[in-house]
Amino acid sequence: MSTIQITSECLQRIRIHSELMYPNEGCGLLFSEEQNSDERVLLGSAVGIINRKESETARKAYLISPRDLIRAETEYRRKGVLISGIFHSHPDKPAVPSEEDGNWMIPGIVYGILPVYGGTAGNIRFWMKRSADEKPTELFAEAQKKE
Amino acid sequence: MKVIISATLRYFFGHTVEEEIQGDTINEVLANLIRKYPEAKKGLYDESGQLREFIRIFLNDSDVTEEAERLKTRIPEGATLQLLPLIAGGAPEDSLISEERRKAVNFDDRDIERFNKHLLLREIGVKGQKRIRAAKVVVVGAGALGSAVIQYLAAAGVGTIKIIDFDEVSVGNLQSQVIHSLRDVKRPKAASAKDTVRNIDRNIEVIAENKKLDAENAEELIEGFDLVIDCTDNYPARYILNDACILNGIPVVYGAIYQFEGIVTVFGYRDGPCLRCVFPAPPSPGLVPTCAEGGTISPLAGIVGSLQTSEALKLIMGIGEHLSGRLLTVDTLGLHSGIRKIHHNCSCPLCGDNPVISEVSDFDYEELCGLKENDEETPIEGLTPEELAHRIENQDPMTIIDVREPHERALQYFLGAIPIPIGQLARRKKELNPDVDTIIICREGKRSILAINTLREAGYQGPLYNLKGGVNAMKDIVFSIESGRL
Repeated sequence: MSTIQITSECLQRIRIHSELMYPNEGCGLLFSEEQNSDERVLLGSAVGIINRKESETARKAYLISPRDLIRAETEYRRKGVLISGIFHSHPDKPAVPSEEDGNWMIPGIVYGILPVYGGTAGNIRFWMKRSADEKPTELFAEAQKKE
Repeated sequence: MKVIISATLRYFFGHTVEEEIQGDTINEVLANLIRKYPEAKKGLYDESGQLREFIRIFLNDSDVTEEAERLKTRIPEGATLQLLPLIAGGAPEDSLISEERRKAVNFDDRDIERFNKHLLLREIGVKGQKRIRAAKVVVVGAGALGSAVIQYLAAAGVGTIKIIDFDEVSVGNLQSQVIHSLRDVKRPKAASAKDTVRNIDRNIEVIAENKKLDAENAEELIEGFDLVIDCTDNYPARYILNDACILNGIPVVYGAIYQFEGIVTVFGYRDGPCLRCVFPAPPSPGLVPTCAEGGTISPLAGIVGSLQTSEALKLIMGIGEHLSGRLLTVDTLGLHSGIRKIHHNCSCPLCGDNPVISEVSDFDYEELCGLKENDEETPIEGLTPEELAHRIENQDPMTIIDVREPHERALQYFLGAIPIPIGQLARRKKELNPDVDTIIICREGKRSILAINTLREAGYQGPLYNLKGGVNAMKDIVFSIESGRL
């Protein structure tokens, strides 16, 4: 899988959630509606999930608790969408995965990182680890063209 | 029992979500699961057989991820086991300055007053300012770019600044090298720049190195520093500096200016590219005039140097986006600016997958560009300024070709020479008379060699001579008609 396509609606949701969470890190899940091919993932929607880090550390880190994940997964499975990725924001930091981000990355899952400078979202970048022992590599992303 | 696997882990389990797996304890269930999906073993366990940190296991609603729990917990009838990831991460701490070094810095009231405008910025604050104070930066070149870089580094409060320059201040420098003033003329640039820094902030440790950076001293000069700012104006220095920095893991903030245009980028930062990735070899000497030859508009160095300093400070503090892997270009005449991506080159001889450069060496610039005179080639015949002057006085039949740029010709006019740019020489070789001697002139006698080679390659058969030392060397020649005029 090498290309990410993202709808403007999905992007908008990520931006709004991350800007609202600023100066803390915002995080959430990315969904695709259909089974994707190996070359392309179409991200159609996103949902913000509460950042379970304590208030002091939430500016520099995020945590999605497994219980929140179970709840979201059960709900969205019912809606027929598939979790394809995870997003989080980097307040006032570039959109590159930190060492810690890399350590926690689940292989095969798309990670979107959105920089938020002074409360305004920048450009999202996508990363993925192909296997547990590899470094994250950047994925090519494009906005889904309107038909 | 029923095992539910999170959709986020599905790549380990071939997209299966639910499985019916037997076992008395959780570890048994996991072992049976792996037996069914051997591929998942690498995903769930690390090399030492430990469950990976991001895996969480829930039995009904309680977390049983701990090794002890997995061993002893008996699985009740009709229970559900869930395999989930813990999704987490942290913001990058990209600062070049370690936490210990930052914490070792103390500020007094005067510092707080001085750096108030920095402390007001949420992105900088006391933390960032302490990092700036703890930082040790080398600036190579106290010329035009160096003027802006050194003064802003000092004003921003960088704790240790080393200034390397071997040159002396001349009146012609004052047009763009605003760190020096009229009273510094003929003083070493490094010393003059040091004085300016001392006038800005006495707390800064300034080290002035009045020497030329070369392959022998480069590594020693940058040792122990966090960051290098390249403000040099020539290719040999840039490549030596790049090699020394990459080999020692020190990032370089690179800046270059020419006429109305400038570029800024960061080399050798994390996995980013280096100078050799982007420009494997420098252009032939003479093809691209340096600032000294090509000229630059006065404030351009201020713009590019300020951008370099801004990048340096961001890298020191670990904030914002930076130019590693990206090249910023500014054109102040046409008012264009942009950022283009540059990439790390896997076959880079310095930082690629199979590097061949393992030490800084004085590379032969002319050889690298394929310009070195080879014994097998026809040697280039040269005329000394005196010989040429003698021929002119005698009014010997000959053609003089001036390959300098128009602005250089305007500065030092050479009477009777036909101006032909190097790029047009091959095409315009018919304008030369092969029956008389042709003398090629340029500023320093280097581009003229290139011009002669070009003409020979183009098949020109007539006699060709190079003016040794170029028009510069003709300065001291006084023609009899000129002296007669006096």
